[in-house]
Amino acid sequence: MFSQIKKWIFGIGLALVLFLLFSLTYCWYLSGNIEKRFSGRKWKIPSTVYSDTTLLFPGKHVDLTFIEEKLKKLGYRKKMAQPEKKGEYQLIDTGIEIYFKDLNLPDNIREGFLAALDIDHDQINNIRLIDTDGSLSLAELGPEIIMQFFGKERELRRVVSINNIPKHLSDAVTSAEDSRFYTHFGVDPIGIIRALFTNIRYGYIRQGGSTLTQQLSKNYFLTSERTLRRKLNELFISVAIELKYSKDEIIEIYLNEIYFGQKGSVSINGVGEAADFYFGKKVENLTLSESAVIAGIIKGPNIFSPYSNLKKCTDRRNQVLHAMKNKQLISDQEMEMAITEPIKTVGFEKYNRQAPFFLDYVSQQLNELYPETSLSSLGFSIFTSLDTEVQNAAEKALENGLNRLEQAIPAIKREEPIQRLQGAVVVLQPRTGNILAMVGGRDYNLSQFNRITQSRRQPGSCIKPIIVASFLDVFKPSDLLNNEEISYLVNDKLWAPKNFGDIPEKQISVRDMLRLSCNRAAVDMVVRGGLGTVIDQINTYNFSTQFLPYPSIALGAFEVSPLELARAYCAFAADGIQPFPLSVKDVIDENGNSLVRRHMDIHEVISPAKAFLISSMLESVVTDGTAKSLVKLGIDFPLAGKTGTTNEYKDAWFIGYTPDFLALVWVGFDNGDPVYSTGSGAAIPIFAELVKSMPGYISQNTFTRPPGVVQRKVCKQSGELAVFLKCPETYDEYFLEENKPEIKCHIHASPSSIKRFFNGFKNLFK
Amino acid sequence: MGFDRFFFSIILIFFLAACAGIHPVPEKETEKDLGLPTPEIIEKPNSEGQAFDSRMMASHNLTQKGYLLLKQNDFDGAIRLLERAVGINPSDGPGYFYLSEAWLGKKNFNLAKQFNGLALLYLRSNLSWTDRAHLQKKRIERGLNGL
Repeated sequence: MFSQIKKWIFGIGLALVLFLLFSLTYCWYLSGNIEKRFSGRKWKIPSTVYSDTTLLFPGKHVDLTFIEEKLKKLGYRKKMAQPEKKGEYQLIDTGIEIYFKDLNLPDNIREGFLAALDIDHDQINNIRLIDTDGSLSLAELGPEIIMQFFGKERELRRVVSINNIPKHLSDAVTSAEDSRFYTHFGVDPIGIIRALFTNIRYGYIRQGGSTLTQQLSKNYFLTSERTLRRKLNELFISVAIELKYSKDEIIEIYLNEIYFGQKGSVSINGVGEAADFYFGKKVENLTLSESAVIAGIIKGPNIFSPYSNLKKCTDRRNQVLHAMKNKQLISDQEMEMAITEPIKTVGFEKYNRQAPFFLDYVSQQLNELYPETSLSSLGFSIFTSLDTEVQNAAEKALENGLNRLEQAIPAIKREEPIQRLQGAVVVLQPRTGNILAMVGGRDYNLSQFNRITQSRRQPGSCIKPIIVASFLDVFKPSDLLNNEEISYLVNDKLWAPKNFGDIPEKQISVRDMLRLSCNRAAVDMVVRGGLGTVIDQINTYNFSTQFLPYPSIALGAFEVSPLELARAYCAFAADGIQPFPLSVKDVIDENGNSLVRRHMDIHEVISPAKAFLISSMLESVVTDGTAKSLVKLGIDFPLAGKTGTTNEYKDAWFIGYTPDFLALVWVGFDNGDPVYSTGSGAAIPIFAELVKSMPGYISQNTFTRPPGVVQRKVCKQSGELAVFLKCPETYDEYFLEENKPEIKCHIHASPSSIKRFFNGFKNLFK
Repeated sequence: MGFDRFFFSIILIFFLAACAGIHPVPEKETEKDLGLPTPEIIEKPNSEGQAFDSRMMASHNLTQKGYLLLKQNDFDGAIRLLERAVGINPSDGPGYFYLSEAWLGKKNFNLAKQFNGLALLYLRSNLSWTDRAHLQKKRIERGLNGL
């Protein structure tokens, strides 16, 4: 009998030793895996794409509604009294008071400050520092997040170090989720037994026995299946984690990992992101009450979120606070104060992809530098040139304009959404090449084809300024071009260009050719000036099109990319300097190191004097030419522009610019169906609506007359120097210093009296 | 006695003079220093033409910051601010001058030349700035010629 018992004891002992050995070996094996998983990247952090910042300065035209919208998007909170904390604002009689948030950008690190923007007639009069009553010449609002490169997980997370996590937050989490966290070894037998009893008493699963470490092992290494094998694995992994890591390390990983709810289709993970999502704060600035809210959410993010049920959220917060007090982590007084604190959430906008065509363009460039997996996991910050104010204005203006056009011309309405009338807009800063806005089509969900960067369309008359610029050494702006019907032999066939409207004059000046968009005169210029010169000159504008020496080049017969066309016009707006279009400006890694820095890249394509002449002639297009409807549409600032319409109304264009911005609008069908409208009728209203909604870029800046440009009075009939009191119709015209009129009007200048005397004397002997 | 005191004083001055520190000789101004004038302070705008002046003030603020970064040889940082300055005020001559200087610092003589051209264009009404821009042009040409 005794030997039987001994055998049993020996057997049990052996089994225990074997089990212990197995457990240790298995834990050792697991710890290798855990170390591998934890020592690499713990989390995949999506890269974030930001818009440009918003500069505010006295004299800038602003729309207060826009500023308020912008502040909301940036997470600022509206107050009914003077702002006391960073990220708050108040509307006042004279404008708006803003407590600016801290800025931490590649080119600007600045602490937040309180200032008032005095606004009068939609213009900032003064930026007043409230504390010192001094004035600022410039203030900057941070960039907006416009996209995140998610992987499959679609998680938002900002990793925080344990050193930045306030103690009351970690205390709140341990009190709520695992009160014996600092004393157990990964598994809490007391907790399991207590949970078992509670659940038996209530008859359903009311309490879980999982420790924080177990939750972590489940999230990191296991699926959510409910099997004994998975549970055992969870226990072993938890023990292995505890053996390998300190409690502080474990809670740091846990707090960065745990799920805190949904922002649209994106999940919020980690306390860093949760603090921002619920309270618009950095985690280190959370109050005790807010920490208790966040700790309470873990149990059921969809039940206890303040966004879904404030009452349940408050009850849960109070439970957490009581638990903290019971564990003597907070005093009675602290608990009472936290309980009376109302839960004030920051509000949020669902994650919504903005400026999709622009972002495709950005992605395309980034993918040349980094693979997709890096962008969705390495947490880069990508700063772009996009101005969200201009982007929204462009999207709205295009949609409204196309709808209006369809209503006005029933023949262009289409039943099939994919076949509907299309349009595209791009807005650039001509000096720097910054792309401020890009709308590549009417509806991104229906068609992702970017008509600004991917399409090639005939530019029609929009090519004419480039043609004229090619010949400014030969033709003067006042020189007369032939407007009579002439047939040209092209490829053994006769070709006779036609004008779009009725232009009765037999001859018109170069300026009027642009102003009225006269086709015959444009072809006359090209033929007289030489097709070789045009080809040489047009190639300097960096078009990817291969232009051929045909007279129809003057009418925009060769297809071009709209972005390249806009870029070519930048040279006219910026003293002959052509910038490279910039969308990505900086790429910063998660440690703040600069990976990519793109600067403005410029080169001269024409002289400043020639650029000025073109801009001056294109100003006539707006004041008294094919784009004069702009004045009626409320455009009252100096602007240069050119309309374009192609054969059979396939394309309608308008490109308008000032020294501060350049916008290109295209309207047409993808399949080349006629729009039955011109650049003036279809594109100009869109342009007008757009620029009226981007007041920040509207100034009274005019084109500065550079050296090398002279002004002369000329006769309208001859295009030559006007003769005082003799030429009936004269006007002031700009010329290149080296190509100015030298001859007096041959029509109206009569010989001088001395010359007449000698002529008469000579005639006596004839 | 009086003579003794006078003689003693002379001797004392002579010896004390030997103990005096060497007066710091101002460093010879380098060409770079000559090419980096401090941005002029622009007066606060008056009520007339305020929009234009304010734009200039805002741009000048950025130019000033860019200039400070340039002095610390942070060329990339300076370029970023100066680009913003000329974006706000496309006729910011000093902005172009410093952009050219920054690209010179980065040994990109072609871009330095482009910005120098714009500096010459927009600083032409100010003689001292024009001189500096001409000096800058010469340095760029030397750089382009590999000298």
